[in-house]
Amino acid sequence: MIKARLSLGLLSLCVGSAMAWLPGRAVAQLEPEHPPPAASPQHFALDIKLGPYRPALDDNARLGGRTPFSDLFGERDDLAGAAPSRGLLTQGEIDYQFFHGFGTLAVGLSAGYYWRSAPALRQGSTGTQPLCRQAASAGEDRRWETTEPTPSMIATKDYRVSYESCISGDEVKLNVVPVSLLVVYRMDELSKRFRVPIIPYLRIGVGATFWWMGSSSSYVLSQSNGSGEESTQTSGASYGLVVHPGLAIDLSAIDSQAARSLDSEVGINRVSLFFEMQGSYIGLWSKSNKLNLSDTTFSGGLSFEF
Amino acid sequence: MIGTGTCAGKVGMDDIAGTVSLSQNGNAILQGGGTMFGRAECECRSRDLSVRVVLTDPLAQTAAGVGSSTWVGAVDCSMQTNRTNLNSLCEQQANQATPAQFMSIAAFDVPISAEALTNPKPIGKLDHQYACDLNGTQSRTLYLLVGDQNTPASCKLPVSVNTTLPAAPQSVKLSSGDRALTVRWEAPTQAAGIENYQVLCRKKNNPNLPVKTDDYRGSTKFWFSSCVDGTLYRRPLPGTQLNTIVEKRPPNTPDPVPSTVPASTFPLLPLHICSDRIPAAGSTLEARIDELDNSVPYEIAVLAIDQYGNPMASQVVVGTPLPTTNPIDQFCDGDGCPTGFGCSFSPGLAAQPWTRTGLPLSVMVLSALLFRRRSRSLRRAG
Repeated sequence: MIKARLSLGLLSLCVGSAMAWLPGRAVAQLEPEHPPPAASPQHFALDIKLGPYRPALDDNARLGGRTPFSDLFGERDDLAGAAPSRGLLTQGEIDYQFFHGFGTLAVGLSAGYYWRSAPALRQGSTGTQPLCRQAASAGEDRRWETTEPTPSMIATKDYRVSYESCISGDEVKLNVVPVSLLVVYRMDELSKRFRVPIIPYLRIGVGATFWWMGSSSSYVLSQSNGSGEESTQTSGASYGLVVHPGLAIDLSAIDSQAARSLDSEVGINRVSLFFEMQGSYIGLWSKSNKLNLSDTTFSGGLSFEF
Repeated sequence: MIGTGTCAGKVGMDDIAGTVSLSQNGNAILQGGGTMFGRAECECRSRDLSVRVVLTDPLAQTAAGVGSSTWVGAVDCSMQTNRTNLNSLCEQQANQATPAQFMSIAAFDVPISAEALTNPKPIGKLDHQYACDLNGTQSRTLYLLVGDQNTPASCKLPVSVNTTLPAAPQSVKLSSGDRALTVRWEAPTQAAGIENYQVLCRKKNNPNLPVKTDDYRGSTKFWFSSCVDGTLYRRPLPGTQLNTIVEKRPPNTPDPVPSTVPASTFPLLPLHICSDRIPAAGSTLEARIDELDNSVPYEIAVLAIDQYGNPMASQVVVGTPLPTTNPIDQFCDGDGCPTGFGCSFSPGLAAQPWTRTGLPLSVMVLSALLFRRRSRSLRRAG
């Protein structure tokens, strides 16, 4: 209990400085002889969360079994076609709570950022294709073959080359910004009525995931339209649905006195630690001319309701 | 303090007081002004730096008639014995202030010769050769004397001279990019004194033309000083923050001292700068040189530069920029690439006969219904 109180106290100190700008909050010390003040109005929630993410770029029927995401961004020691390891997706969300009854109902806007980089592949001398291609089938050891074999290679029909001879000193970078418009329901009755500090919740909504390819030389790569005269930026967006069911631990319910102090001092009604499933079904329609940026993963973070 | 000095003493019963600093082309150089003299200044025997005197207590008019002289030395040249003893390291300068200038509060400049600072001629020595003394950092003092020869009033300016080149950057490696080369290097073992690095580049097959555009070279400073064929290319001085180029053999200047920089290294010309300075204290010793031509070999050298502007080039390495592929090309198929922000129909969907005919038909029917409804409303209103 003492530990929890201490940690909540520290948390209140950190958050207090950040949230001090909130208008209409009385900054007053709690005095034991007075009755506890009423809770301040609660309309918003601010969530910060982190979690692993890996877009399912290779899971697309248009690719006909090819696995370019794995080939370009995968680990060199993995087998061909193996999905690259997950990277960090950092997200933030702001909710407006318009209903307080049996739980709270809110609309929210969420945004995040993920990136992954890899060495750029060298272009062949014709300028129309890469110098190398991944020749191994899924599940085999990775094997790079040149598209411009020497006469001796042609004679022996052995086109294998080292990965190092296929890559440039430049890096390419995939940038992903998932944005979601959400409806959020938090079932906080257990916490409110019975002081059981568990809040099941569900976020569901529509998502747009913006992406662009950059490189060492340009923030957004240009792409020739084929005629060689015009070029477009290598960027786009995919759309879909997001579902995030999760559980939050109401830290404020653990120590109500510290929670009241946090509320009266900086206006934060509730601080909770949450863990949720991240179901993103973005650009899933395999025949669509879009990248598949879906993933089913998890994330965790802190939520401040005020 | 190095780079700033004072004027003090008496001429007769008349006190003199003031300050001394260096100046260049009429601009006073205060901060860092004492570390102006490196090997390039010595080799080019530069004459564009001066001693600037600002007197707060000048001589009275009654002191007219006193003599004055300018000296450079490694010993106290305000003492007459040091100015007369054989082999004493005090050299009198041709340029000197007039006594009248000591009678005014107006600032005045006295040009100084760089080679005398780096290697002053000992008293009485007739066959002195102005080779650039390479024995590390040396302390010198400039003296402007006025008044009685035995006990003159003096303006003293201590300066520091260093003609020793820093150690060369090590392990220079190039990696090819699309229209670019990335150069990485390591600090030498003896890295003390190195303040900055700067990258030089040139086309291997066309080495005399600059690689970078005029705009780039106009907006990027060179942070080293070099003397090439008698022309001094000087780093930005603390007072002006501008590069200086003193043309070859200005009038009334002696011949340059033969260069002692190894001839096999990259020519130390601002023409070849391909990067801005990279601070030695930074965490990454690398630079990306872009806007190059693909498939053309380039020669690259990295300069280590000390606080005196002395440069030392690394070994020259050769690299060729190579084009790279756009990764999104790998995600394209016959119907195009997955770029764009619209909610486009899938190619498969668009290819369906009902989509090709049904969609326009639906729009037409909907338009007809809306038109009919509007016409009815108008009739009713009429």
